[in-house]
Amino acid sequence: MKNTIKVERARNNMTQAELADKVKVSRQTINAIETGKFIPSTLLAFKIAHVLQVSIDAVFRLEDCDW
Amino acid sequence: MNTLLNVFSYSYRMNIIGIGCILWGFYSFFSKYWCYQLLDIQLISGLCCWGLIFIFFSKEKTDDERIHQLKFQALTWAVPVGFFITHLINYFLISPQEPDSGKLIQSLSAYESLGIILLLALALFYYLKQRD
Repeated sequence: MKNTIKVERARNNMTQAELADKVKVSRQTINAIETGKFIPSTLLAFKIAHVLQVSIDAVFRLEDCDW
Repeated sequence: MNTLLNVFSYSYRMNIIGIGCILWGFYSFFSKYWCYQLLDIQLISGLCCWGLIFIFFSKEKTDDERIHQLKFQALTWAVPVGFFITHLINYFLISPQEPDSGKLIQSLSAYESLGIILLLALALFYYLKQRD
């Protein structure tokens, strides 16, 4: 699954630590999501999208290999 | 999301109780050895087991879903590997050779086996946590 968290964070002028603090996870978790090492739950994905003020499908996108 | 059976419901402070249990185990073991020259493996393994349970199953400082997944991943490896190690120790080091193999049923205790599994799980969890 691809995501555009890094881009959206930059657009919102937000660091990983700030985003992590707002969605109540560790900075390492945000980093793992950004680098594709960890796929978040639906709940966390919605929280991230909400904090970044975009829709969830604008942040997370399925890839061909996910099917 | 709070449910009655929450994952890793012990608070972070239970780590201290876990470390306390392990220290208590070592203290009791050595004091018994110095006083009575007894090597009470059951005593130390039992208390270390409790300690490791509190350490592994308590929350981390920042306890999120990635931590839960890493702990689960560590457990899924540690349980079969730990069980395999227990089995190897029993088979090669403890069980009597033929023709007495059927006579005496002796093996590592549940405390020792669980201790091996939890040690593996903890080591693997911290490795996975550092790697990511």
